[in-house]
Amino acid sequence: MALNELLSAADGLGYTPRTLELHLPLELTKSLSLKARAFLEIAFGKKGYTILELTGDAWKDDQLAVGYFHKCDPDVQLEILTFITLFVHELTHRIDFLISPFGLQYYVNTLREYWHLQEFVPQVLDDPKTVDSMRFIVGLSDDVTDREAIKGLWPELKGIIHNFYAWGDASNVVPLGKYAEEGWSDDFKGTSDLFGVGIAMEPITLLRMFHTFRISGKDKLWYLRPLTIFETKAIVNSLLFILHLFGKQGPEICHRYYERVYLQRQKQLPQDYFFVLDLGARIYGANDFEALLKLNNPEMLKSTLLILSTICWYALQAPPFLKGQDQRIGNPILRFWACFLFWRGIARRTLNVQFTSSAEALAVLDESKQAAALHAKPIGEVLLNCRKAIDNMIELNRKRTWHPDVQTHFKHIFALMRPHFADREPTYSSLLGMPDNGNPLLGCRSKEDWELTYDDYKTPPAVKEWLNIRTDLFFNLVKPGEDMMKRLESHFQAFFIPYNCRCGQGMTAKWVSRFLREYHLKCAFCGETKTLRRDEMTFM
Amino acid sequence: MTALGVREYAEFRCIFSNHSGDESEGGATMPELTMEQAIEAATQLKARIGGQTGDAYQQLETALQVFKDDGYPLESIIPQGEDAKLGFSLKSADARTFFEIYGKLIRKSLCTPHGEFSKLIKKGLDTSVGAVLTAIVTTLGIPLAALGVIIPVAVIITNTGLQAFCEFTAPKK
Repeated sequence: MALNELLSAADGLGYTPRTLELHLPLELTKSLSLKARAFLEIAFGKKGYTILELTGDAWKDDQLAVGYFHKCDPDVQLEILTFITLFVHELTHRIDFLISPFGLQYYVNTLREYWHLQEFVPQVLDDPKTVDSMRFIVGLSDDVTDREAIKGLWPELKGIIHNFYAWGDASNVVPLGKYAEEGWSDDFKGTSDLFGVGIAMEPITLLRMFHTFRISGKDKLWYLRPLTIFETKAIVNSLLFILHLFGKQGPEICHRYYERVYLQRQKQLPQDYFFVLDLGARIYGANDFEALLKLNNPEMLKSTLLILSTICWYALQAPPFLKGQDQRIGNPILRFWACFLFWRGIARRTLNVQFTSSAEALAVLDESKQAAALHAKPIGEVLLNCRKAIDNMIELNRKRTWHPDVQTHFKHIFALMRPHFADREPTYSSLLGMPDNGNPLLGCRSKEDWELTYDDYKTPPAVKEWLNIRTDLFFNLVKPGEDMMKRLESHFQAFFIPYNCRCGQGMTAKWVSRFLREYHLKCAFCGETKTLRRDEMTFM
Repeated sequence: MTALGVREYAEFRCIFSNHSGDESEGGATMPELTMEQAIEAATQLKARIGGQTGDAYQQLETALQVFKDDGYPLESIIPQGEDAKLGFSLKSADARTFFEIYGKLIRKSLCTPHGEFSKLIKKGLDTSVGAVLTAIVTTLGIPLAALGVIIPVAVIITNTGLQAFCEFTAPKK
């Protein structure tokens, strides 16, 4: 069946935020049935289409296209919608990472991590003991090496890597169970209905730094994490777009779509695709999201989806924290919790807030004691942090990133992101971040908005090579093979530099990166330090 | 624990830990095996199930559950080979899916002309589950915590036959 083939092909579809790459399997279009292809030709008036065209909504007013759609078998209808919304889904990820403060935090930390590794990796490559312990680098113990140079780098590097691990790398990495502890640092612990919708949750802390929640008594390895917010937002956008396309018939189509694309594959997919939708449905008293869809109530469905879109957008405003700031201000889950309780109060009328838009309501939340208690900074302060961080990173990338391709890549990312912080008014209003019609592309207004959606950028191979190594090196228990060591050596262009100190007691050698402009060497015998400049050296 | 009967679960722990099976379900965690214990457990398992590959898959299912219950996500022993992405790609693996993924990994590293499986075949050690287990663990760098999962994998491969395993999983021309 074509729909099954399409869903199977969609398993290979994905977005990699660090490379900005949208992975489109060839089978995706090949698996489309003849009837679905015919629809696309009628709706878009030609045989070849760009992603931007595919995610357009002009055909919703075209009687021929809409008429054809309704005459199709239910499975063909779902095939068409699955195909179209896959792009809405993945573009939502791309835009969320590039315009949100949390996305900025993610890229800032990725580059900071790289700066440390460009010094760290070349030095461990000649140390068999450390190389052996590099399996699952996130678990590398503090006393793994006596070498001063590495010991000095490790504490800060560990902080960054552990933070990514605690986030699940903002994708589908799952930390080992032993890294999740019950309760938060302020002695907040115990299972209860923390979201006020009848689900027993418990607060936990990952790697002693990331406060979040998990469902009590269920899968102990799953917890509320950045991926949950990104996936919820993408599914919400897809459903809102279907409502936008089909008006009154939207809820019934949404129901069939959600059931076939998500619910029937619930065993295969992680909780991140379902949990927040179920949580949101409970605001209005439905048992779960499926039950809400079954009510076939357009207003209630749209209201729930818009509330969830707003909550997730608020959560993603967690900025990079600056030196001296509490790192909890960068936690999107704390913001998510504050915002969920706030909207639950509004929807159930236990909270009296006057507003004309969701952005206005969020401004009220910003001023509340609850938001402050959960370290959710008001948007004005968030944007101030972001502007400082991005300008600082642009400057530091030029100075500190040794590998020219990596430097170029981050220059490109920060250039795409900067206008969305520099020019943003201090409000939550965003046509891209929380589009009422679910399609962020329909919210593009400026050149800078459109640039976010272009897919003509080619990630430098050296950047991809490093990122392909990174996940397995950091987060996988399987020992890195020889080939990975060779790839690391090749990426960081490490070479062995022998140094004969004038004390004459012997030779000191050190692995360094070829991209480094200066090499700081310390004699292992007398302790004297020496700085060699790359442009004064001869390479053999 | 729902996917696994309590009795089966306790039995599984006993195979690998030589304990009496009276551990309470909630508090126990499977002790990390040494390589020698793992070889012994693999030999016992192979002897017990004979050529019944279906039983070995059942043991693998149990081992995966135990591994997860002990706080280890399956993803932690499946190399990704790429930067983490957002998409539908992550699947909770049942025994057959897991074996499919690991089979590819093992074939890529061990079935080459100079790979460890080829060496075992030449030396006539291809029916020794201990030798197969050792080859997998050392070549792939499997952590001790995951030995329990690799034991049934080694038994399935040995029961299939190394020659056949390498051919079965070879990419279709």
